[in-house]
Amino acid sequence: MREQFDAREQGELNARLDEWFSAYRDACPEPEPSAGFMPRLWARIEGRREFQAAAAWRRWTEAFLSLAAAASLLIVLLQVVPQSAPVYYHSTYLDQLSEEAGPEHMLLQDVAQAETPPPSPRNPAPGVDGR
Amino acid sequence: MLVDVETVERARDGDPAAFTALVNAYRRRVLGTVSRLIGRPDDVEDVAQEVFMRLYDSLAQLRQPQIFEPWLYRLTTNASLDYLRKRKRRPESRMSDLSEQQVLAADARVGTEADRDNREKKRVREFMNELLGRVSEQDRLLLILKEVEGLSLKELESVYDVNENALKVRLFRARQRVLKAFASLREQAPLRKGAV
Repeated sequence: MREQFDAREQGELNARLDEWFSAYRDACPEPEPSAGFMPRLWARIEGRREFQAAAAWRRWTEAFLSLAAAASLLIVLLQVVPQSAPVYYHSTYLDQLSEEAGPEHMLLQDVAQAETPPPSPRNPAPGVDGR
Repeated sequence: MLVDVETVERARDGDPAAFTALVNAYRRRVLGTVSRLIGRPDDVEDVAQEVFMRLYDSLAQLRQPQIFEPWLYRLTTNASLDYLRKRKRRPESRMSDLSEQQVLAADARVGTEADRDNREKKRVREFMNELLGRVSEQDRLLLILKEVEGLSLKELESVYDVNENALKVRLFRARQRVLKAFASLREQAPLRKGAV
């Protein structure tokens, strides 16, 4: 019984609410746009477009400046950070050659010479006529 | 649709004349919708302009010109919601602020039929503003779009980008909440019972 009453009451409330909505639809005036609506709209669109263009330009400029600053920093760092000792040549090419042909080299040459057998009549030195 | 598909396509492709034609065709409707959604006559034109600026910015993304109207409704709803979030809604004046004697006295002063009609409409607006002011902004917007603007479920699906079942649930809950507010308002102000 109570449920039936609730459902009926709910239905009645719904119907009343629908009537209110309908009345509200009729009661709401349709506002008229002002005479300057379109010019003002275009001015705002133009203003926003210019602002966006300026913002994009600013972003590019900032990015470029950041890159330039980073590159400068990198160059300064490369200048400041100590590098490994540079290779300087203290001797001339001839010094180097004589160093390579130094006493040790001579010694080895002597050993090499000592190992080769001395010329003998049976084994003549090259270029000597073995007759 | 108030304009043909070609006009929408041309506007989408950046034709200023076509965009102007779109605005001219829809500005009254947008103004009306915004007016009902935000309930502040002073700011209606500003919000409507914001709607058309958003339209200008986003029109290139509209793939199907056939769904232009729901698209515009979505922009209108979003711009109105943003406005309401930014600014706390303040209804012009409320019927509940006036005593019954004041209303009767004011009524007595009204002479002509037209004046009486205007007063009745104002009363309806004030009552509905108060009623819809008792539910959340989301409920208010949804109910206005459905019950006052007369959008179909299909159109609302496009506006809210949800499926039909989710929308029905949302509508049902919003309706239940406004019914509750309606019942309590009627109890508080029995004078309004037979208003409509």
